[in-house]
Amino acid sequence: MRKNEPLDLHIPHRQSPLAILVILYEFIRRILSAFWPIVLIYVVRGRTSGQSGDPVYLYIGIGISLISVIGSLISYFRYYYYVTDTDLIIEKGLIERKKITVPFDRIQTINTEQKIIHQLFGVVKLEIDTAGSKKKEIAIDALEQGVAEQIKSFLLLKKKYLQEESSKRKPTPPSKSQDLHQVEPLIRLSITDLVKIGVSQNHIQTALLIIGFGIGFLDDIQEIINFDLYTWIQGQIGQASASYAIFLLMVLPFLLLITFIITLIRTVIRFYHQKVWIAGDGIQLESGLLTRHQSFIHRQKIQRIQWSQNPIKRIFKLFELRIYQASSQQEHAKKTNQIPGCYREALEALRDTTFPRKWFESMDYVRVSTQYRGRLWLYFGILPGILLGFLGYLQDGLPGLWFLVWIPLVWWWAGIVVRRWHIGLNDYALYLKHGFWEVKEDFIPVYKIQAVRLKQSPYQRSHQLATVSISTASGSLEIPYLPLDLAQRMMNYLLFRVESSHLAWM
Amino acid sequence: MFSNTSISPEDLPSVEFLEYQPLHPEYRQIMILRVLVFNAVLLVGLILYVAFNGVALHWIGVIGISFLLLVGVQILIAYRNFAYKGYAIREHDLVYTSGWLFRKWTAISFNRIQHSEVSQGLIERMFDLSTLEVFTAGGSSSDLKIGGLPDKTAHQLRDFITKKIARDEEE
Repeated sequence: MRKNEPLDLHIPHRQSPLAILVILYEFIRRILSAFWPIVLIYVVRGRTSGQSGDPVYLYIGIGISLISVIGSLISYFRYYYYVTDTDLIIEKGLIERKKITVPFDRIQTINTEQKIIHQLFGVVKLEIDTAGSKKKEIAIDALEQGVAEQIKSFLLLKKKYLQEESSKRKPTPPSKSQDLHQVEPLIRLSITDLVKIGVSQNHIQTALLIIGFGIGFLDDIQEIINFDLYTWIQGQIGQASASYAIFLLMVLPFLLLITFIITLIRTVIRFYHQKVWIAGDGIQLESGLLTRHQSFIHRQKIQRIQWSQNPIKRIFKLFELRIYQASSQQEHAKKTNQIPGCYREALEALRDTTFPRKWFESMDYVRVSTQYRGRLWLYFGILPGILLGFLGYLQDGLPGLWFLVWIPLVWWWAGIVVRRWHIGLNDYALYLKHGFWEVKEDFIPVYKIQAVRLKQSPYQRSHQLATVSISTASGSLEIPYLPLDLAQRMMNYLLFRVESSHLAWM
Repeated sequence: MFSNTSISPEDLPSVEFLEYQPLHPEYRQIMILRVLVFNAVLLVGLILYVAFNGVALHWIGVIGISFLLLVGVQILIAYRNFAYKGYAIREHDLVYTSGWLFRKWTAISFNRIQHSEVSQGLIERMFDLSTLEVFTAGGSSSDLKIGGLPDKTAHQLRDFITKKIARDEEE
């Protein structure tokens, strides 16, 4: 296809033939990224032992390569894109035949991307974001630059045309963003605030991250360099019966200190001098030590907000506020806007900007069933507790039974979790309060809900209970163990509100 | 309960007592076939493992019996699950129910559907059945997948949904 030749998009087209190479590259990259530790170990082992390796692996390698090549060829030849009067259509599928229909007016953004592989072949990837759904936006892997530009402008034109059509009926007032730097921000984090925030951050999360990463990494390394840390520590302590408990006791304080320092540093780097303004039709954020991040949260795009407080934050009278925007799943992390520390007045001011005040008022509250406590206790307390006690007994004899303390501890924890759960509902919004250490309060305007789901396990069925799951364009929330009739009424009510609402959720 | 809301939830139709359209009876065979195919692959792996590692005879027996038991349970679950699958189309939404042990009802309002797809797997093609997938902006947790529809019905449903979306937007 020539670059400047106008394209008739109404007839099916294939991608650029170079797409075969791009698909192949993606195929191999994905396989390698899944199996790199195996490959690494194999390579290192093969080298140290001086052998050329087991031929079985070679055959597997050749087999995988062959499958990749054939797979890429087939995917290329079975891939078509074209447009109808209202939709963009992509037909594809290696084994399954798939037809993807994207109505023009559902298209949110169209981006072109050029990774190194694309640059190498002079092609681009066209990504069409429809705000959510299935793993990711729809993408056409490899197109000649000219073709991509043509499709992009064609789609944008169609989308714009459709939008103008609809805005003729429902005019929306244009909004202007003002120059913010002359306005006093609502929040301006001082150094003391920043330290308070750093101290009260969720250290457990960081600790788990470090442990998880550390253990995974350690195993790989041990495997490669043939060194057993555990035996080494046993040797150092000079005790043959060193159990994991002693190991933990040695490492734990050290770990806590590192965790604390790391979170503190992370907090400072990320939130240094954070400023928050309430602007014309949204919220403007700015923060960062090394790189200043600026973001603007469009009021329309906010799907839910969550404010939370842990006991340390409560001492400082600080709240953490998260503002969730609609986005594709992949980008969730990026688009969650976090205000790690704000005082009550600022929180209320921000809340009032996002949604009308009356949405927050006169809620009716219900609670989750107390049966939930027993279930939590069974799954997180009794079963693991007995297992731990048994293993402890096998390892250390009677003292190992100390692990059984876990069981009453979890009973206490489950009691607090259940007592905390509050579900509020009014004509406009759903409110959820929950959490053990971090008490979270979620607020979701009902018309932002995408789907409602009711779930029932055999236990729940025999006790007339159900779990309600609510999906929004920025993640789902679960309300566990509601009495069945309440859960049903809630589902029906939420659906009714969603269906009768004429507000645009985005 | 919820007395502050201006509509009484009792007056609204409940998803639990809807008349659900069952899936095509042959879909039950597809579900069982899928279980068999999946386990056949597993079995090949198991056999290779046993062949290369020389497992003692009584262990082969134990592994074999537990494997058969597991397959049996999976087939039973697939067989029972089928009877609980069904969809209902109401004026404003699409409801899908599934699950024998773990029941599930999912409702998606037409005015929240982003796009829909019809797909056909290898096994499905042999039976001339298709799968309808409905996507919202809520991500995978809120997407619907209705398998075991006659190819024609699947396409009709998709066209119906597409039209419904378009009409909703005009209102």
